[in-house]
Amino acid sequence: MHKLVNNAPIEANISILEDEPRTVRNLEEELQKPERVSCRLHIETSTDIRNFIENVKSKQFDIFSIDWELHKTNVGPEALEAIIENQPNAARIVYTKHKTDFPKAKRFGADGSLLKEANDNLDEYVRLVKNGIRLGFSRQICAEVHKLGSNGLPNLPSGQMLDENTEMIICDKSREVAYKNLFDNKALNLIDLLTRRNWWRTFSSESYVKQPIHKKLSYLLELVEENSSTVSKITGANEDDIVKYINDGSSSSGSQQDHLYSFVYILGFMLRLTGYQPELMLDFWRLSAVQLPELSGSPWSNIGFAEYLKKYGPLAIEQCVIWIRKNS
Amino acid sequence: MYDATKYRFDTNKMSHEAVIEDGAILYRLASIHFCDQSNILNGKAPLIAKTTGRFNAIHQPITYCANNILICIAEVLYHMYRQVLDSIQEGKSSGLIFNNMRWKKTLAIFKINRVDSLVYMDSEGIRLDYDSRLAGTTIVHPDPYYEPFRNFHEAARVDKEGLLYPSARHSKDICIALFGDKTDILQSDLFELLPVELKLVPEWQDPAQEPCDCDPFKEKLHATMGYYKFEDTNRFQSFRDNGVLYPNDIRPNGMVDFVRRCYLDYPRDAVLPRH
Repeated sequence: MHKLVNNAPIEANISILEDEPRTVRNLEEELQKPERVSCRLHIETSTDIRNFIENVKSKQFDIFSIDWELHKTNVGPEALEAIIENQPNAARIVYTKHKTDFPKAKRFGADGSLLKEANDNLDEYVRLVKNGIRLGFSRQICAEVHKLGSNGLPNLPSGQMLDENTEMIICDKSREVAYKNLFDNKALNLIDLLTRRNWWRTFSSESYVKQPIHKKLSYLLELVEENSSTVSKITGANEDDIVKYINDGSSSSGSQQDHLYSFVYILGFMLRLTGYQPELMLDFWRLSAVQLPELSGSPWSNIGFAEYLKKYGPLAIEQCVIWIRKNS
Repeated sequence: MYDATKYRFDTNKMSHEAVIEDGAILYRLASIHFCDQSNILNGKAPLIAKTTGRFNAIHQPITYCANNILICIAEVLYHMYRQVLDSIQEGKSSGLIFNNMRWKKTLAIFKINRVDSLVYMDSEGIRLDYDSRLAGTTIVHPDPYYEPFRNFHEAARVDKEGLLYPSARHSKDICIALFGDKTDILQSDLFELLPVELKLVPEWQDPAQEPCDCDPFKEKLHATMGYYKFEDTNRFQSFRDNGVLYPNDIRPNGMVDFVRRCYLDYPRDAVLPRH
């Protein structure tokens, strides 16, 4: 199922150890372009090994980028040892002027190495960072899943990047574990990682309230994996009109708009029932009261929201609104 | 900027004539789904309410707002509390009851054009012109529904635009009820939405601590206070800096009374923990 479940960019933290001012400037500039790295990176740069190790001990990072040689001294081994001791699940990449450092870097636990060229080969560097971020997230996610008592995830040893198939397995399995432990505080770290990795949806009231109602409808429909055709079936309106409404908010009649507002009201009620957990919306949409006792006695309790609304159309919308009004 | 002089009523409590001046800021805690400019003052909230409101019959268009943020919060917290009590009495499923312990709402902050022809309820005039039973204590009658209010608001609707009245849940400033669809009085230069989370807490809740989840079947809900939290503290601070919040120095989160109380140091005493 490996896919982006959220429109938000991946949020990652990177620590860079680098002493050449020009390279620092180039790397920071490049990594701060979200379109270049496909994620929002929080960058912490150290130009000396002491400051770097302090950061390793005090802050959490998803990936470390290390210049093997600082001020003509080999600091790579010390840096890697500190990372492995304090943050063993973060990804570690080495950016060095000497290809001869590669085997040593691998022995000390680097996941990938890149030769630093005179023009700072930024394309290759950015590619390595992107792969490193994926690896760092996957390793941390596997560790959290393991802490929650679930085994069977692939082992991700140092010295190699991640293939898509393995990543897909980690995504599916970790989401399943997060889902099972959603209301357990122990799963908070896992959910935070999945959210930052873009494998988990969270609800942001701040951005939601700013949307016009047709955009809210579109967002809620996405959560229940439905589209304009379903809305057309449920509201009895022409599908082209629904598409137009979802796109620009224009509605051909007052009664059509009333039905669409009622539909938003129903989906909004569901969102509240989930405790504002968008990941639960699909279940609440499809399941009957057998699985969701809070809905017992509702008009849709036997067959679930989705079936009920699709089967009975506008009449069902009215019945749902009446029930919700009485019971919420 | 918030200007307290824009809500004009007789502070000597004689006349019931009242006016809201052009550019007055109002606050309303609205649904996160129906909070845009076309919905905030259209008066349609009663269409999805299950009961009558304080000054509206069922489905009768009205918008409830206030000139003080803490009134909005206290009013909604009280209704959440009552809803939990009523739901238990009606034997509703525990899932639905737990659901009413926590709400996400949005505080709409907006400016309006001048509104003439309002009735100020906390006045002698209202007893003479409308109903002698409406005075002092009864104006802040604690029940959500009080029969004399019904006759009064029906009479006021004939030739008035709305009401100014003291909140039954907060002892400072005024509530404003606007009859019908008032979308056209909304001004375009200020319309902001600040999401806020409201939560009912157990009666032993320490205000200095994060609010605990409460099981109303096992514990006792706090019967006079609830918790609020503005989700984006940076935006909250920036609104405060721009002077559009009132009270301007309230905390972005804390516990607030939903019963009327005498505050010696307002608003510091009104939100716990004090700061």
